[in-house]
Amino acid sequence: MSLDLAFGVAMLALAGGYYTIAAAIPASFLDDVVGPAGLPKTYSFILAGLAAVQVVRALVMMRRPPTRAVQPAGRALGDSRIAVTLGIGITYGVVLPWLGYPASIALLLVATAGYLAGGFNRRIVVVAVAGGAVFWLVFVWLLGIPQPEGIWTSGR
Amino acid sequence: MTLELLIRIVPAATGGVAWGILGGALPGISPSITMALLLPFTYGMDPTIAIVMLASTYVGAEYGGSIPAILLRTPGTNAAAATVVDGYAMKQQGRAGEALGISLYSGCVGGLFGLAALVLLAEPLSRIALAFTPPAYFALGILGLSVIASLSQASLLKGLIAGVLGLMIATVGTDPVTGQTRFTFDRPELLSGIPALLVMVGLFAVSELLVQVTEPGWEGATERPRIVFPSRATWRRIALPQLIGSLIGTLEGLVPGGGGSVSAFLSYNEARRWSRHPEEFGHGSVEGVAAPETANNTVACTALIPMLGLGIPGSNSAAVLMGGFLMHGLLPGPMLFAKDPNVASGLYAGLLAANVAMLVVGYLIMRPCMWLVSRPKPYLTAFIYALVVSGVFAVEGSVFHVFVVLGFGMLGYVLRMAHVPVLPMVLGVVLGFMVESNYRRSLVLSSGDHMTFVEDRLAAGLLVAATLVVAASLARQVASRANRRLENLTT
Repeated sequence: MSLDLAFGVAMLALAGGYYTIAAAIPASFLDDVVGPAGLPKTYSFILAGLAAVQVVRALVMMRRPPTRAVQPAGRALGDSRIAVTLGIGITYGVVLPWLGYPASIALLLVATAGYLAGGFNRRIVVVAVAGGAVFWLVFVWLLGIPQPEGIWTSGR
Repeated sequence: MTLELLIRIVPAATGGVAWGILGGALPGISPSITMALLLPFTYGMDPTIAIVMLASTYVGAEYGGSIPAILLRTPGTNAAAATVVDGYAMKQQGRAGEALGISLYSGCVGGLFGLAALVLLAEPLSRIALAFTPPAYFALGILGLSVIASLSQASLLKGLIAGVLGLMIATVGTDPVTGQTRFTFDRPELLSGIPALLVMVGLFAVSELLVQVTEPGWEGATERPRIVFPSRATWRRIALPQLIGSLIGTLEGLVPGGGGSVSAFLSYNEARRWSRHPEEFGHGSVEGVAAPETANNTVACTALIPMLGLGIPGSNSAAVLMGGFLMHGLLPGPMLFAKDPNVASGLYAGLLAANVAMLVVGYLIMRPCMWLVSRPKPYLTAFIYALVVSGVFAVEGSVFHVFVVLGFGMLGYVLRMAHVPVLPMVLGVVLGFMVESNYRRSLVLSSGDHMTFVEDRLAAGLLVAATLVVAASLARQVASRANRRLENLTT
C-alpha cells in the first residue's frame, strides 16, 4: 500500500470516527439552528469526500509506472530514534510532577543529548545540569512561571 | 511633554522591548503573558513610563516570536507561524542571518507604519471597529481560510484535507453558543479547546526534531551562520511585501480580536501573488519573511487604535495594556487625549523609541542567538526539546499539554512523510473557532436567515474578496500546471 493510499484510508476512517462522536453529542433545549454537532458533521462529510478522492487518485497513481523515486517513508516512520525521542518527552511529562522542574529538565537534557550523541560522558552531564539551572532561572526565577517543585517541597 | 520625561521614555522603551523579545522568543509565552508578567513591576512607576514600557513589550514580543520561528522552526507567537515557512527554509540554506536581518528590518518598518496610522488615524479608523458584526467576523474568517488554496503547495487536495483537519481540531472544547462539551473525552484540560500554539509547536518544532534525529551523520557542530543585513537589491525587493504587510496589518489591527495571525497569513499570500518570484515562496523567499513580519509588527501598533479611539481592547495584549492604564487611574478612550495628553503623546513617543530600540536590541541578540543554534546537534536538539516542553507547560501549567504537543509532533512528522502541507492545518486551527462561533451567532441574530451574510455590506465585501483570492489561487495553479505540461512536451 502506498503512503498516499494509506493516508486517504486513514482520513476516511478519521472522518467516520469523528462523525460518530459528533452524532452522539446530545441535543439541548439551548440548541440554535445549527447546533453543536452541525459544523462537526459537515466537516466530517467534507473530509470523507476529500479522502475518497485521495484514495481514488492514489489507486490510479499505483497503476501508472512510477515517475519519481519512491521516498523511504515507511522506513523513516519505523526509525527507533523517533520512538526513543518521543519516549524521552513522555517520560519527562510523567516524572515532572514528582521530580520537579529543574531535575526533570536536566534529565531530559542528559537523556536526549546522550542518546543522540551515541553515549554519555561527563561533559554531557555537566551541560545538562547547567542547562537545567538556566531553564529554571529563566522560566521560574526571571519570568515567574510556576513549574512543579516535586518531592523536594513535600516536607514543607 | 517635558524633556526629562522624554529622556526617561527611551530607557523604558528599550527595557520593554528587551523583555518583550525574551518573552516572544520563548514558545508558550505569548505577548500578553509577557506584558502581564511585567504589569506588577510597573505599579510604582510614573504612569507614562509604565504605559510606554508595557506597549514596548508588546512591540518586542511580536518581533521576538520570529527568532525561534527562523532558527528552530518553532513560532514563538501565533503570529509568527507564517514566518516559519520561508524563514526556516532560509536557515536551512545557511541564510539564517539574512532571514533574521529581514525580519528585524521589516518588523521595524511595520511598527513605524502602524505607529503613523495610530497617530494620524486613531479616531476615524477606530469607527471601523464598530462596523464588525458577527457576519463580518465570519466573513473575515472565511477570507483567512481562502488562503489555504494558495498555501497548499503542490497538492491542493492534501492542503484542503489538512485545512479540514485544522477546523476539526478547533471544534474540540466547549461549544461557543450552547456551552455543550464536544470531543473532550471527559478531560477537563480540553474544555477550553486545544490552544493553537500547542498545535503549531507540535507540527513545526517537534516534527522537525523528529526529522533531524533520523537524519544520518548529524552529530557534529552545525555551520555558524553570519549576520547579513539586507542589500540594496533586497531592500528594493521587499518594499512591496512590506507595503502589503503594513496595509493588511493596519486593517487587522482595527478588528477587535484579530491578533496578527490572519494578517500574517493574508500578507504572505498577497506577497506571493504580487511577487515576480512566486516560485521561491516556501523555499526561502526573502519576501515570504518580510510580508508576515511587517504585518504582525504593524498590528502591534494598530491594535491600540480601538483602545485609544473607543476604549475597546482589540487584542489580549491591548487588554493587558488597558489594565495598565486602569491600574494607574487612566481611562483609555477618546477622553484620554483631552484629560491626559501627556500620557497619549508619551505613548506615541515611546512606541517610536521602541521600534528604533528593537533594531538595536534585535541586532545585539542576533549574535548570541546564532551562536546558540550552531552548537553540536545533540546539545542543540536537547535544548530545543527542553525549551519546547518548558514553554508548553507554561501555557496553562498542564502536563497534559506536553503529551498533546508530542502527539501533534508525531502527526506532523507523518504528514511530512506523506507530503501533506501543515500550514493549512494551522490556519484551520487558528480560524476555526472564529468562523464557527460567528457563523452561528449570525444565524441566531437573524433567526436562521443566511441572507444576513449578504445584507451586511462589510461581510459581503469580505466574502467577495475571499472568492477572488480562491479564484486567483486556482487560476495560478492551473496556469502553472499548463506551463509544466508544455515544458514536458517541448523537452
